[in-house]
Amino acid sequence: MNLPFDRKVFDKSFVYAIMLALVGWVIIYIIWGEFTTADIIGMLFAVPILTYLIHMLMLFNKD
Amino acid sequence: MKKIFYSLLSVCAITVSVMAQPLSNPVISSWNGSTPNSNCGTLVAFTTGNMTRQPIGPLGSGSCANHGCTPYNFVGGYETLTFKNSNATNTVCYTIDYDGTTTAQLVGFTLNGSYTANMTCPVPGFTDNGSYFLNQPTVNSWDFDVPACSEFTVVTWEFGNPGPYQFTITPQSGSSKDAAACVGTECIQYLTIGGTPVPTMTQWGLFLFGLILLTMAVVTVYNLSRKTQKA
Repeated sequence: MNLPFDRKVFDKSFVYAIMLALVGWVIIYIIWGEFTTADIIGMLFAVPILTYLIHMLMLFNKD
Repeated sequence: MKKIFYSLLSVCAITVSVMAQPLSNPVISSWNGSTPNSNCGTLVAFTTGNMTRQPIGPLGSGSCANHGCTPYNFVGGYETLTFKNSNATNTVCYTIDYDGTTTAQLVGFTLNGSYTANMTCPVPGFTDNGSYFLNQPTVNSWDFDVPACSEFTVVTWEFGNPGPYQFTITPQSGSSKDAAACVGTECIQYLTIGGTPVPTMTQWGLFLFGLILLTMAVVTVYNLSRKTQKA
């Protein structure tokens, strides 16, 4: 499977992913009122995957 | 882009920075008609109408014929200060301590509100959710539990010519988040990492699985579209 990758686009999408993560933290705290270890681990995995997903969407627009 | 980023940062900062107003001890009053110094914010630390000394008496003279005591008139006053356990989660054990600067006229204090007499309380009769009037408190330290997010009122009584008094309210935990707060302070739910055993890992697992599937689908569509373009 060919995994397209563009470093510049990836860097840009990483910023978006971090912002979404911050929003996610706020939402988690509003809904559950606390953070758990699982949230930290889950977020560590989710951010890179989400970054790549955003990067792919940006590549679509670019091309 | 920058505006969105700073807006998000502001939201996070506001959420995280919700803090209680811890009470700095001691509470000092001179019974002089002015607001007692409790370092507890303005106006919110005291119940309506009871900010300063309220006069009582004379309550009458005692003859005490059978006991041989000297007849005298009870004249004095009381002062009411209301505080709050702003911890939204935990019952907090407080110690109230009238210290050495308190004048001899002090005859006791009453606790009102929702509280539970603590096991270490040295005064028999200090009951749950009631008032207890202490006569001549030679032992000047008492413990009591206040439920989460509840108010309690300390009423200090003096007879004769009321003089200055001073007391401290200290949480037994020694933690600043348990310090007696002002009335009106918002109850705070403190962050507990790894606290409640909520099965969030399952939720995160499902979320990550969905995210990976979606990413792979997008990659596949992208590759197909590229192939179509080349063809």
